[in-house]
Amino acid sequence: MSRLVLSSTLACLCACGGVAQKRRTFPVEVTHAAPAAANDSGWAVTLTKATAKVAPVRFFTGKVLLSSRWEFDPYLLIGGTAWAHPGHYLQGDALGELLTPKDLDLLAATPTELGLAEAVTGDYGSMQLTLDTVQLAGTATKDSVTVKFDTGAFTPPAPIEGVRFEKILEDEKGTARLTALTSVWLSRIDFSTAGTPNADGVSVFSSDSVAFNGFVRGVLDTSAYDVKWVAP
Amino acid sequence: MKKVIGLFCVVGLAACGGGSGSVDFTTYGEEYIEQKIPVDSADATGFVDGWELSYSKFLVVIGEIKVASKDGTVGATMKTPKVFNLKKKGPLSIEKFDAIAASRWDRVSYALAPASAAVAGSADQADVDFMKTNGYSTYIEASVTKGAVTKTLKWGFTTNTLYEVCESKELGQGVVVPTGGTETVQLTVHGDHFWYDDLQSEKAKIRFQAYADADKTPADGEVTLDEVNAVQLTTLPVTQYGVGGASNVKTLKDFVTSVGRTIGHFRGEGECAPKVR
Repeated sequence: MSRLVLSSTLACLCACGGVAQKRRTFPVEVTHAAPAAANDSGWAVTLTKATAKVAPVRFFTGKVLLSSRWEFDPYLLIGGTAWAHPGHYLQGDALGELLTPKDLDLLAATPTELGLAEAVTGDYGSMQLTLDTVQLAGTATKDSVTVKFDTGAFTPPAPIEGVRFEKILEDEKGTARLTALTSVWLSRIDFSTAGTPNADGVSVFSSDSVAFNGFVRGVLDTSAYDVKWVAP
Repeated sequence: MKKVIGLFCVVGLAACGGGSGSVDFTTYGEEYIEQKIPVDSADATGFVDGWELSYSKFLVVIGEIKVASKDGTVGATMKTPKVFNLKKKGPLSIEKFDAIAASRWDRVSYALAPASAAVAGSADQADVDFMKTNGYSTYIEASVTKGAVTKTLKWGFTTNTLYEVCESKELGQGVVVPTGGTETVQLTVHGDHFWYDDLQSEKAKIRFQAYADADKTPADGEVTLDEVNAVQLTTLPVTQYGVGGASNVKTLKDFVTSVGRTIGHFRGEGECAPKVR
């Protein structure tokens, strides 16, 4: 969606049909949660690098029906429309956006501020996240085997849609904090498929490897993104 | 004044008169189950990878039909689950409920769930016994063909899914029971949903190739669920079999089991909220 279209939508939400929505701004920040346990294949991972560029972040009314617990959650639908088709996430109306790109060092000690989202008050249901050049490096250990790895950079081909963010937002102060769960990014990677190490002893994932496939699926997994409203 | 009151009666049937009517529930597997799912013809209605599927059996256990309203009032409930073979020409009668207050009942729900007490709907008694013995809610047999290659499958699922807050885009939530009349409500089953290649994307396509390729142990033409379970999604093209936020879906069997929960629909293309139990 272009900025013009979204801005028009935001303006319409304020002005059309007597909807009682008000313009406001709120800060958005990004942090990460380090993996606390071995991944699905039993590899314990220590990260030495976790970087990405985040571009537009947008907020919508549409609620996410398929939760990270592998359950459909019908109670989100009371008073709304129910969907059972694949594609049951419908983003709904735009409520906010933050367009300024920002480079992220996810291992930074403090959250990275992305800026102020231009938004309106309303019933928030989800977030859309545009990521660029996501990359992890570190060591993975299983039994007596240690793999030094570099995932290589991955840019999702489209914005990641349907990230859950449920909040009735009015005038309160606070920050939308996005936590990237690198444990989910790493969860599907079987490091035994990481490939032959280079001269530095690092296995750089090739784009056609099973390891890279697992990394890509982790980055695209919407449960890898936890968005919370944090009061000051 | 009478005209005004009459208008309100039409709008809110429950508020006036105290009449009652009936609701006749049916089920239907549409052409996709009764006939076949064709190769895609560029209108996104078939297999995009050249396969064509014909079900020879499509058994479902339908139960727990409830006609209710948001305030908790219950107009009718189904007592005994029934097993249907949707390969038989439909729509197939499930159950008719009489003497329901004439009103809009905005909470209609039903279940596709294993049921030890199930009886025959349109299924043969042997199939009813088979479903009960194995604890299945859904069972499919199909033949899938591409060129000279044919694969068969016989898959049973023990999933237990409640479909709530059913809604038709055209007719609204639930059902309106007419005074002195009968409203028919079809619980439609979409047999193509098993083959979608994404749990969340609106652009999901219908594919079979990954299942065909799973036929390895042995490569005998029959694709088993054990073979499908051996396929990690990470071995499939990254543009296919996305899971949205369902992190626990790791294998192709996890995937088909999860997407299979979306087969239950309402009045054609209408939707319900599926609740995993």
